[in-house]
Amino acid sequence: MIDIVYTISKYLTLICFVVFTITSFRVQRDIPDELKIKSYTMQRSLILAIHALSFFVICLHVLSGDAQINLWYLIAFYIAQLAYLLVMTMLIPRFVRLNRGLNHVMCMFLAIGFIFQTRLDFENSVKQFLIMLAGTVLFLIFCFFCKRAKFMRHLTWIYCIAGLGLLLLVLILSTVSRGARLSLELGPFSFQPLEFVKILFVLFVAGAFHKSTSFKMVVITAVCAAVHVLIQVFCNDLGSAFILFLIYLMMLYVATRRFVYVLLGTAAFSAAAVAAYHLFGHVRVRIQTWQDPWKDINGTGYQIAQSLFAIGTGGWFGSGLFKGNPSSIPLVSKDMIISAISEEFGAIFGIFLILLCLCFVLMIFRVAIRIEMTFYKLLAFGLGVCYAVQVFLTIGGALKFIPLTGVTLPFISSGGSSMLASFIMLGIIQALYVISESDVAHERRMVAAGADLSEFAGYEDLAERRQRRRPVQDDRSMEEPDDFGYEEEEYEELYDDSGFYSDYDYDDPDGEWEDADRQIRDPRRHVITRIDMNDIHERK
Amino acid sequence: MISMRENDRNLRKINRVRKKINKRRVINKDIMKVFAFFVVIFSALIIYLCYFLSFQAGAVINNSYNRRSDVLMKTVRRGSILSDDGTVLAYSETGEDGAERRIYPYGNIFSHVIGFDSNGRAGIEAAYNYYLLTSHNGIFEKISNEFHQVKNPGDDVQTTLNAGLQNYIYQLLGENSGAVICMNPDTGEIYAMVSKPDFDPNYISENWDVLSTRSDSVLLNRATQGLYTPGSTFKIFTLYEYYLEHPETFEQFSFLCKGILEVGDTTISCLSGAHGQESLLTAFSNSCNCAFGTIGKSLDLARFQQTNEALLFGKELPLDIPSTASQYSLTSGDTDFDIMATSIGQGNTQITPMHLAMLISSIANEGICMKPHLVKYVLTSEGEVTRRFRNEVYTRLFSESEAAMLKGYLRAVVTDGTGSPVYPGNFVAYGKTGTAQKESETYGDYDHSWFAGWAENNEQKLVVCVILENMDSAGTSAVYLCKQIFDYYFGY
Repeated sequence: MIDIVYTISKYLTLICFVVFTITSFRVQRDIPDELKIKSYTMQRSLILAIHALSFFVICLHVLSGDAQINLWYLIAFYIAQLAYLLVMTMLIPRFVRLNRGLNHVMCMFLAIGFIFQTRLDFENSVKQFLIMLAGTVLFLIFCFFCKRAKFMRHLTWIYCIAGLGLLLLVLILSTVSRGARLSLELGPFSFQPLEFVKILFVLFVAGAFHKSTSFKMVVITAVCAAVHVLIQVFCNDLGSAFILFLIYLMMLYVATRRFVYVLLGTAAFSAAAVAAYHLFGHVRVRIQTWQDPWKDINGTGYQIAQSLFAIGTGGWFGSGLFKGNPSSIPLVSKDMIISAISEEFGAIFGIFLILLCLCFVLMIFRVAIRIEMTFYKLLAFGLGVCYAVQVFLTIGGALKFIPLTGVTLPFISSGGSSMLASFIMLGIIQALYVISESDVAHERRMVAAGADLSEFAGYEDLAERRQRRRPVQDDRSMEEPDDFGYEEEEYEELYDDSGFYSDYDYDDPDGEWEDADRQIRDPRRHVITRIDMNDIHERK
Repeated sequence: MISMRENDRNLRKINRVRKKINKRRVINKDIMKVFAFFVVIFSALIIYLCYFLSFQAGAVINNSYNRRSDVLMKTVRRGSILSDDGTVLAYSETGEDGAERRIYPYGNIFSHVIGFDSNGRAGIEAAYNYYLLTSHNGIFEKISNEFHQVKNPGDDVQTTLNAGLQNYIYQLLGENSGAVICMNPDTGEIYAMVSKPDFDPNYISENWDVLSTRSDSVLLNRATQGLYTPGSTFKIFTLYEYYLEHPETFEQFSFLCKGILEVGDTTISCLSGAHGQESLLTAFSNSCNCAFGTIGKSLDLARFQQTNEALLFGKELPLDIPSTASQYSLTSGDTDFDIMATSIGQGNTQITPMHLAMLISSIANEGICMKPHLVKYVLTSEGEVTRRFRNEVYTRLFSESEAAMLKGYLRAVVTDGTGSPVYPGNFVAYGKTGTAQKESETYGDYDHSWFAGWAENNEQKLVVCVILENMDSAGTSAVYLCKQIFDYYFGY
């Protein structure tokens, strides 16, 4: 009889998760606000439903006496987690301005993390929960702090030095674990600075390209990035090295808009990869294990083989919680959590988890798209890339799609530093979201004030379509947003008397725009005609 | 009427906004391009996961390092094992109490090769465990079964084993200890694999304590895991090495056999007295120890070692069921007697019957060694093929001309030498006899009788490798047994 409950809960969980993922994509489209609010409410219920269903199964399992967990501890733990999820999804959005889509997806990840950490190792999951609470505090601090801290974009070199300093510290002081130099021992805590270096690195690159995208700056940042990557290779942390490399390459591409840099970077990477393969034994071992894990199934290939066994045995629908054997995979709660999820919840769940991660990336990129200032734009974009690459490396590694790199799945895997770093990342992104909202609102206000922007190619998609759908909305949005990004005096600062954005590094190598601006400001030209505007536009 | 100043301000504002928007739109396009890149690689992940589950997972999870069979056993009723013509060799029966019981209708006859499904599993039951525990029935049927608390029927495994042949050989062996392997050299399909002493897999759990501690290693599959002194069958290796070292002149070899050869303090003797003047061909067909001892002494030992390693000594055989690697070791530090004894197969060399069968198969198949296999298909419970195990080339052991040369020598054994008992019949037979003399303190002196060879007619080929333990007679009992197998297989 109990088995039927297990089975029903398994399929219900899958259905809930599929609906959640689809909803997450849906709210990314321009749908009316009432629908969005409905969707968010539904998402919250789905998170709580999946969490409750799984804990019900865990309780049943404990009752049947197979697990060494005290039932009352488990129930108390469940209530604590429930309270956390409720606070995060209901209370926090009332006091803090957040992107609720991002917030809900994060909570879904956390709930899946709760379920699997509890299922795999109860004691560790309690520890993990406490770390997560600390992470949430950091998250809130960054939410508040980032949108007010204007100085953030001027600290470029401090980020670089701090990042490199941390890396050197790791190289010198770290203890070797799993063949890699990763963690610093601080009393009872083991701390992995590399997780934070990623964020510092994104801040550094965003700051540098905010200042200038000249060739000189590209070279300087490339050298700094190379030093970062090399130190990580020496630490034997190939996953992080690859993440930093990709972050740099993509931010470089977006900042300079030159595809040739991508080609150069890819060529440099290929050369470096070949060199690393011949120079470093551990690189070779990784590659060989990836190509044929079965050859040394008891040694280097053990982890990946166990992961494939888990995914293969679980099949499309999974074995159900506690019906699988994920504990046989080494480091299952960290690098291999996707294998455990796929084994017990099924590959279809795994596929939708990958889609949800993709949706998360889309949400972060949309924040980047809506934002005005290059620094913030690049920052949001870089963090999104960081997240996406990390997800790809950990899932691809567990599936033997790419060599195993030992990267965690943010918010789901256990691991203190990774959890804290993920929260900081999301805190920054949520702060950027608020800034992006105020940017969009500012634009709308310009439109409402009579600025005719319709002649700019494609602009009507943005503004007119919005107006067509919700004519009333724009008035409301005029009052609503608090200008966190730019206070009134900051606008003054930005738009100084010269008429240029002193703080904007727009790409104007030939001075075309400057000329155009001068022409418009020429007191001899009293009236500006539409033809003139078009003329200027065509010159561009 | 707006003033000029105001107009100017507005224009400046518009211009700024326009610049911002244009710049942003270009960057935004690039951000969406990067997103498209991530869409592509994430889709690749998903497609790979689907591909893995649809096409690879079946083979991957069927690995002895996967310890998840308990997980599958809860939802799948173990499939049946069938012979090549579909006769059921093992099936599962669900009792009144819902417990599953494994039934082996042929009892002892297939004991080693089919194996058993409890006490750690063995044989095909172990090697194809996950295939038997995987159900390829429709997905809706599976979900419906899950809700009805009914187990899905697992897939069946169709073997290459010929139930009639296996049964016949089993009866032939009687109470003797030993092993017989029959296989098709052109495909690598194993038709029969008998090992004695045997046990009844139906009662394996009940008798486990007795079986696992018996001194005659009853659970050991002698065909693949039994290490035996090769005796005269090893002369194939010695002959081949002599040929490699003297590719032009090897046929000019001649030797006068006096029946006994003195080496230091010890002697090597031929079983059937003096053979007189011999060529290499007659020395081989007579299985002349003196001649091959002399050849052995002249060989380049390092090269001999290499040749033997190329001929699968010391190598794990490419089999699904557990096998032991044959052992060979001879170095320049060994005494003359050791060298000579080894070259006639009496030294420390040890070989498995499966290894010898593969060697003979490659000679029969123009030098190509096919991968020996026991399973043809995996079928759903409705009989649809879900996986086909194709005939695979394992490696080439001999060139075509070498194989033809060796074939001539093996034919001579049957026409003019020790293998003459298998000569008559409506087939053409080839082979090599052998007697492994072993001095043992516990059992006294004993002889193992070998025959490895094949017979062919226009349509069929059958490789047979026979080892009979502790036979008194001078190495002919295995060859008589083989004659009966050929007669049975090719018909009178």
